[in-house]
Amino acid sequence: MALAFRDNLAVLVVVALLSTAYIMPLLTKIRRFRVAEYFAVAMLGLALSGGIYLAREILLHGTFTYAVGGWPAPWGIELSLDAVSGFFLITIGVVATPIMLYASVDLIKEVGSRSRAAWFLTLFLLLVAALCGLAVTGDLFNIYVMVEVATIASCAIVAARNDATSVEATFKYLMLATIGSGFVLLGIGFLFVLTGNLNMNFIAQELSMSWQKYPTALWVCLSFFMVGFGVKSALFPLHVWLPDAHSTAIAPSSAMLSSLAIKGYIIALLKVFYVAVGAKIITRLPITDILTLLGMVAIIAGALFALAQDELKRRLAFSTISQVGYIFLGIGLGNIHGLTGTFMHILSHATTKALLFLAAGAMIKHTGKSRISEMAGVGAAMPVTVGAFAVGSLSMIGIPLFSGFVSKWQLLLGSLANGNYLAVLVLVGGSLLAAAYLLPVLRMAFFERPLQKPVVANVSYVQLAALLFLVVVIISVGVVPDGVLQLASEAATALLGLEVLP
Amino acid sequence: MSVGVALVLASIVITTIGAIWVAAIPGEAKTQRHCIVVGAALVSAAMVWYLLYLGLGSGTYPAFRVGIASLSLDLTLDPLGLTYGILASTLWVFASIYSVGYMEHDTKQRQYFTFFLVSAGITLGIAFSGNLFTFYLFYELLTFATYPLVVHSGTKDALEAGRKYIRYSLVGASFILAAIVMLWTLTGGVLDFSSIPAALATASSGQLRILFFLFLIGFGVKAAIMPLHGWLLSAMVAPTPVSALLHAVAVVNAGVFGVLRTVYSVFGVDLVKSLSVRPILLVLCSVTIILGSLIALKQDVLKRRLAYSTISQLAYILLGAFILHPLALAGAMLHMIFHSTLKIVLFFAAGIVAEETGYLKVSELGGTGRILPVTMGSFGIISLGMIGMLPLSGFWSKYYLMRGSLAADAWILLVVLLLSGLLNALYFIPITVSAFTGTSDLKQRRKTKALLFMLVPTVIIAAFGVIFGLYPGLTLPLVDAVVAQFFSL
Amino acid sequence: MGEFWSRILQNYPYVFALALFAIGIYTILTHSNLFKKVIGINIMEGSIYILFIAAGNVRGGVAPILDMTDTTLTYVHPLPQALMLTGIVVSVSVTALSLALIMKLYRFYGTVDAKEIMRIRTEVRANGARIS
Repeated sequence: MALAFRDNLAVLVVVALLSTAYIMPLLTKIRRFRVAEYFAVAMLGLALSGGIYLAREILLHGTFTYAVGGWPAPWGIELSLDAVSGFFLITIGVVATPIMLYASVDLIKEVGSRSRAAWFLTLFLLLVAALCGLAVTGDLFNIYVMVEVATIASCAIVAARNDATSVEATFKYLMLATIGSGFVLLGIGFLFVLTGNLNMNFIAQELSMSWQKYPTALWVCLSFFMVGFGVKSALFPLHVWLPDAHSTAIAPSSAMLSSLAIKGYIIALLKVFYVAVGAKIITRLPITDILTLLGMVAIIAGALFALAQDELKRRLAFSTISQVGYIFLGIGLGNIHGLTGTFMHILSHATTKALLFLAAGAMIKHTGKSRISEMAGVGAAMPVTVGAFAVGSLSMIGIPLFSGFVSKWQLLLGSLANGNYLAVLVLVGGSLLAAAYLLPVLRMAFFERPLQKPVVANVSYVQLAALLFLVVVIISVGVVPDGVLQLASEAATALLGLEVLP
Repeated sequence: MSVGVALVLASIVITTIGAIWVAAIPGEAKTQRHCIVVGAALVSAAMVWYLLYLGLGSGTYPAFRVGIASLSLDLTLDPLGLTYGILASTLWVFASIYSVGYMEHDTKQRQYFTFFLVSAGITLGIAFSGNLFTFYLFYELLTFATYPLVVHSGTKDALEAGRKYIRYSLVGASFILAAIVMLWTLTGGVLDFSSIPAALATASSGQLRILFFLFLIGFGVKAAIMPLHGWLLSAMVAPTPVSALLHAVAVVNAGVFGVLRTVYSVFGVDLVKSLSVRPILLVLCSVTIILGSLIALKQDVLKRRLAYSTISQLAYILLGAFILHPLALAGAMLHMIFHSTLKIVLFFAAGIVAEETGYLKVSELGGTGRILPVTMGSFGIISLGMIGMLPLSGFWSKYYLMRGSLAADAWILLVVLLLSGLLNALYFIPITVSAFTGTSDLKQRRKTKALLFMLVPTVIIAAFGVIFGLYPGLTLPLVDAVVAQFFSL
Repeated sequence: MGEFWSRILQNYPYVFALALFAIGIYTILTHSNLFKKVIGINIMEGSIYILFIAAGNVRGGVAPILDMTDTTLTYVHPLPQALMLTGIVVSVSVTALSLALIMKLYRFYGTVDAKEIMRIRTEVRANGARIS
């Protein structure tokens, strides 16, 4: 039994989360002790442990595959568990658990009614399940299905609050995300037409033999993927849905959206580009240069827009756009340090942005105001929460001893390895801009006098626990990054195919 | 773990523990808080003195290294770091006693003392850094730890000053980061101070020049080299003990220390000589020295006059460093120690005058010598030291700087130093003279109970100014060790 | 030039599919009526089905239902058809979600025109009231 459990763990994580999602409406019928929410947290905690276990297995024994339902490839769907999967599974677990914990406290009040809370939990768990599915899949169409589930679920949780502006933002997000999905499916179609396969490893084999016959088709296909995943991961200039979605959604939804949902699509992009198409082909096309350029523009543009925002959540939304630029810059650099920096930044930004959004949510609820200029003196009333926001800010700026520095250092090394001094300049400039748009919030909160009495009672201990969990993760990754860094660099090496002789 | 390594770590950690303790106890527990603050500073300073005693005695210094990914946190003592560390930790003790007195009526003491102690630990971290990564880490943290001290009063000016401070410091820090990254590529990943000069030998002089100036600009912000000195003036809005610390001990000396590390530990004397940048550097310092003193002449607010004086005097230290001669370096180290001890007395005195009489401007200080004789007397004696007169310590540092200039055939620097001394006299002596001979409107001072807390540290450090002037040999073991470290004589 | 046109003619399903894709996206982005946007989504997704299924088409092939009696039959590639069934399901879910959102928006704003909604929103924001 235990052996079966361990062997099937890869698919079990996804299936367990899916099943839990569907029994949520039943569980919320139990009115005592918030059973449903805590069950969800427990399930996510189990997913986290499953992810850690799988990551350890991958580090020790290398990549392994799993055939769903016992059908081997190419007839069945194959899951491929490599360092990328392990890394993303850990990221999902580490971030989703505290977000759920935070959400469990006030969920019914925030979304309106108990039945709506049930649907929120269902959709949340579906989103996490889809992201885990994206992490482990090895098949192109499976990616499409998981991407769709994630899209629909993340759109729906944005509309959680029963409010005109949220529904509007959700509709815009849904339209744009579906356009993105259309492009992705078109790209998959092209790859299918070119190679006749849907399993990523098989596609890689086929393409490496035949791609020179259809360079234009391949190029078009890859640009479809870039646009499609770019819209979904808010790559500048395809980011227009993100600020509205964030400013109107409830705090846990924003946190989930910004930290994990976006990253899932980036992981999917990495899988398609490096596993399905292969590093050798990618490096011969100018795709990486385009991604580098877009990344650099995103870093600066996102940060500049963030500076102009007075609403706290919109500022954080533009900050996400800027940080996604870092990730794409890392992908564009295309060397070991660059990709390691990409993965580390996925983890670091996920934890940091979740922390910032959750703390911001608490601050907004406490003061009843959503603008930074009206939040003077919040720090005196809720020191731990704003202190957690401070930790998140320092990590986002990239101060050593926080996780943000580890990823930034890798990206800097990657830029230097390519001789790209402009990227170094942009990276350093991006940190300065991050300081410029995050520190004033702290200054307002801690060092300015409040104009009136606060509105709501203190943050509950459960929410503080969620925030502190994220703080601990950020600081431990910053001070002792060895485990995750090794996993990240293994992921980078595997993607770049450097272990295999050319 | 040997005693030395334990002490290195403990000296940094103890102030942090003190800070957490202070933050945890309620605001009303004043006596307990004061005891913790002074106690933590005292213990930390005692540990650093013991490390000095161990190091100078045996000639070997403890080192502590722990790896973080491909970088390492490295705390290695050496004479240069110990000089800064001793200076900082000792003066911190006096500043904490002074703070107890000065902050008597302040409402936000808990916040103040927490960040006060945290900054102490971080400064020691800078002093004891053994590689560029550790240095950068503590340097960045120092900016964030001293920010709450700058904006302490919470007024609009204070917040504006804080914003300027952070802006300048973070931009400077990004120059340093860029320089570190460039250095990493040139040396292939070597960042410890002991090994960089050798690793840099293969780089082209063009690249080395760019690297040098990146470091210089980065550290120059905190060292208040003109034209990067703008933050220092607005930061005067901070409480006096903070100004004394920022302008005598911690932050500005951190910048100067950074420049010293760049010239001597990162590049090494020979490499800097080969870059032929000396003329520009000496011009830069001379301009700062003269211009700083000239602007000081026109300042009426006492703290601003002292600030410009600091800007000018820091450039003396950098001058000594850039001449690249053992005697000049000795002068620079002596000036680092002596300027800090002398300037802190001047700031303390200014703070006492402000608290007791409410007067902030030089023009209002007439006759205060009669009300506060000890304070203005110390001010007067110490300002002689700033001018560089015997029997005060300031004479000896200038003496060595001048000898160093002569030895390096830089006659013009002698003129600069003498001219600056003259300017110093012009803006310091009238203050003391009018204090004792002028008339004042205030017949009686506000007798604050805390005067003793403020006066005693002032007088003690002033006494040191005289003692070092009479017996400069006391500092020679340390200074000789520093010179020997970098010049193979 | 002639070769170019003959290749286009040979691959007419794909050309149609891409043309429809473009029409679908154009509809989504330019029409202000929300229902038309949803129709645009369906056009766009429909075009992709055409692309996939055309890709799997075999000339002279029959529907991919296994006939044990006749072993000489060629079947059309079954995989894209199965995949597109999944795709249709996805498209239906997205359409259902968007229609539900449109209904909610109608309840809030009283209109299904995007430009009208923007106008009402800026008016409301200027007046400081909340839309419930």
